[in-house]
Amino acid sequence: MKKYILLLIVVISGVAGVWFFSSSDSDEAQVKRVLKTLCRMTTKRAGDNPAAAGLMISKTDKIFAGEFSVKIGNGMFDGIYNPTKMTAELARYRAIFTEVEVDTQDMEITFPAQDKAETVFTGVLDGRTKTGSGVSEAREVICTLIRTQEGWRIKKLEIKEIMQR
Amino acid sequence: MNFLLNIWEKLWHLHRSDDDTSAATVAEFFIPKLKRGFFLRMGIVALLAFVICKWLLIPCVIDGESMMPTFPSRGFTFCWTGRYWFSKPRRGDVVIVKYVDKVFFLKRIIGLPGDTVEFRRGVLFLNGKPQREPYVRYISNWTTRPVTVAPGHCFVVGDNRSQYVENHRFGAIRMVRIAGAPLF
Repeated sequence: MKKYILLLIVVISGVAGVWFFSSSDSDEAQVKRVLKTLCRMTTKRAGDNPAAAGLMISKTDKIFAGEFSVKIGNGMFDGIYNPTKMTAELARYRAIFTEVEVDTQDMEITFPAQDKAETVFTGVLDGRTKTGSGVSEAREVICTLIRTQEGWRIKKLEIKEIMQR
Repeated sequence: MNFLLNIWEKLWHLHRSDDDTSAATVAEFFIPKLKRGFFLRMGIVALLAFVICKWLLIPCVIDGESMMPTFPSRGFTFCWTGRYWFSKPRRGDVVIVKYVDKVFFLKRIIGLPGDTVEFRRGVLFLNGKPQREPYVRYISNWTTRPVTVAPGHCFVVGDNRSQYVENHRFGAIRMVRIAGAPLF
């Protein structure tokens, strides 16, 4: 009896392992990695090495397409960007905070076309500005990505209120 | 105190004995023998409680006055996540909306996809017609612009319209954010 239980555990572990490794490079996993990289770029921790952070945010071409649109709802940052312009904006944004944590929750990914992905998720931002005030915000983020030769890239980023009046 | 100690001693002696009288059964209920069966039962109960409270009946403490007087602040309820497994949300339903992890809002649905919702001096107008809302007990003077609810969305608002409109969280949300409905 113990032999069969052991065999069952080995078979289940094997199947789970195969499933895990086969899904780790799926389109969905790649899209999630791009968005997680965006979260890392927009996260700043106290004690972060400025040079390392600068190097990280200079690689916006690894997550954004050559030309992409941003719509944040307040109108201030709406427009068409390229990775160089976005790097400058990210640097300005990081300069506002002493520390900030950005994360995604409840992500839904769909593939309306083979080379297009649409994601909707809750973006959560918790941080402290250099003036000392705490910031805690949650927004609904709609992101469109396209598949390029180098991988998935963000083509459109829209941020809006979770409850829209 | 001595009386309680005596009772405890009697129960303990019965618990340690192996007889199966009703008194011994009662003693075993209060002081179960630490055998494999006991730990197995405890494990099953703990697992069931975890599964139920994590995914089926999520305990919620109501913090806020936006649904008064229907749901008082500092009240308690469970979020029954199976409410909409086999049916769709309807106008008038009280729902629990997920905002972020561990933060939910308790609101009432007043508009479905395609509806145009607006408030004029505290009166709800749905598709241009004034609506009767018996659950709203406090006077309201809200005036908002008309909003057409997009497909896949619904319009939610609290019952306490005496709050300033700027301080009240309401609006169109995606239907998938509806986590369930309050159990009571």
